[in-house]
Amino acid sequence: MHAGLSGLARLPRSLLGSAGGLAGLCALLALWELASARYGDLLLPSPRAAFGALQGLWQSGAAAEAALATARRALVGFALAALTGVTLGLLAGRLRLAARLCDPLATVLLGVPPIAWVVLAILWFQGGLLTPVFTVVATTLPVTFAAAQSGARTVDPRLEEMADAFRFNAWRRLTWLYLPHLLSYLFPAFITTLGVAWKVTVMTELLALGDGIGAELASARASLDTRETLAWVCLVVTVLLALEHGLLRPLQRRVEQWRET
Amino acid sequence: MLRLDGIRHGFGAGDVLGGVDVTVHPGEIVCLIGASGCGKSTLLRVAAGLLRPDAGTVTNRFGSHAPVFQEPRLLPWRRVLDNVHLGGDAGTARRLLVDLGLEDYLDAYPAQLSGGMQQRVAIARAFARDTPLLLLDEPFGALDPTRRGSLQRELRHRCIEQNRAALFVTHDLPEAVRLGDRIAVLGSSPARIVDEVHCTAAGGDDAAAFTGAADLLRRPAVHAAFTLANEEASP
Repeated sequence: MHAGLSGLARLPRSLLGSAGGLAGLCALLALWELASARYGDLLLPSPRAAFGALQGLWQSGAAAEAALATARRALVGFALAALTGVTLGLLAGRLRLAARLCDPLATVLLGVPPIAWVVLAILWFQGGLLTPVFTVVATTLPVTFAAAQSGARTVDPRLEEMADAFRFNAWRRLTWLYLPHLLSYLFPAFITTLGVAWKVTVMTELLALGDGIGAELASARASLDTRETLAWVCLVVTVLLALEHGLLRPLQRRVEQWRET
Repeated sequence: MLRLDGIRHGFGAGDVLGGVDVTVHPGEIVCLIGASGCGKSTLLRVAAGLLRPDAGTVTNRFGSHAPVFQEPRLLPWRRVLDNVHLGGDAGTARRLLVDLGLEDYLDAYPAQLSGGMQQRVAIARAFARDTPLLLLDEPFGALDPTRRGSLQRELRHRCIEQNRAALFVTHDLPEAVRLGDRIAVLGSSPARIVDEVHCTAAGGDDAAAFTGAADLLRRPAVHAAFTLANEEASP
């Protein structure tokens, strides 16, 4: 009942929030429309033309096929990086030795520009699934690692002492104490790394692969088809927004339900 | 039986604990009193095995124990019932919570409860363990006097009923008189046991508790332990 009431109280605010978001989006579309009118359809097709092209791609099935191929690569890389990053970050947050080993590595990984990883991955993996997955892992791992590490360092020592006193075993300590605390650090990192994973995958596809949104972008560019290029860009953005607001944020609200009380 | 023998411990300059001996027999409630900051909590952490003393031995023949801390220390992301069973028997946990008047809050998160209710949950958590020894570190310090009284009675009643021993740390003399079968007085800097009293007023009413506390304060060692510490605190 409490949850229902506070949910009701939040409704106007969230409506207002979405209204604000919508207004911003409309302003962007209006700017796009204006610029298109100013510079001509060849350089910058109007939003309507781009969405028309996207609709065509959707009806032919090309859009869904490309989006699925890209999503598979991005999500495999994202999940691998998340798993490894959380494990290593947790270790580095708890053990000084692990921190000494991992910290410089994370700094180096962060310092290498994503495009360099793409080039290396192309050379090493010759365009298989590993090419985008490796690139995604190399670019997102340090972010997840750093988040997990700072989370692991800020576990309440009084709760740790409680866990000691009640003899939590390793599994219970992980699932009842560390992970729930870590999640508030991890979710913002996941939202960032999902975006990076998605964009880096498109970039890798554009340069090295034969299918996926990136590859379609490359062929649209090759035929100087600005309309279709914009259509693919719109698809990239839409899928990313859908993943973030349809999957990650609802999941975050669910696991962090205790905060809202 | 829990036996602390010649426990010494220091943090940096000087000893906090200067050779403390305490014994808790099965089914016995021992109250450890002393002025604030005299090292009572440190001693309790030694007894709980959470802190290794510089010298002295801890012999715990009870096997296991369950703690109640000064603060509730509940997992904020777990519901009340989970916080009590901690993965163990949910039935026992539920019964305990109902007995402690928390039946409406089994599925609440700790943040939805008042401080007093949270501390009740922490007590239920300790009683939910099947252990013959409880270690309590001023668990009622943050509560108002009425709640304090009812929880003290509840605690003593349960310990006797289930034949559990308890080492109860407090700086509140009437509380010690209400709860303890035996009261051990800890002097400060460095802390050691300066007096020990077998108590007969435990479980009595408020008047008995205050009379008992006044009697205790008339004992020179107890008087010294409390007044000296206060003078040091406010020069």
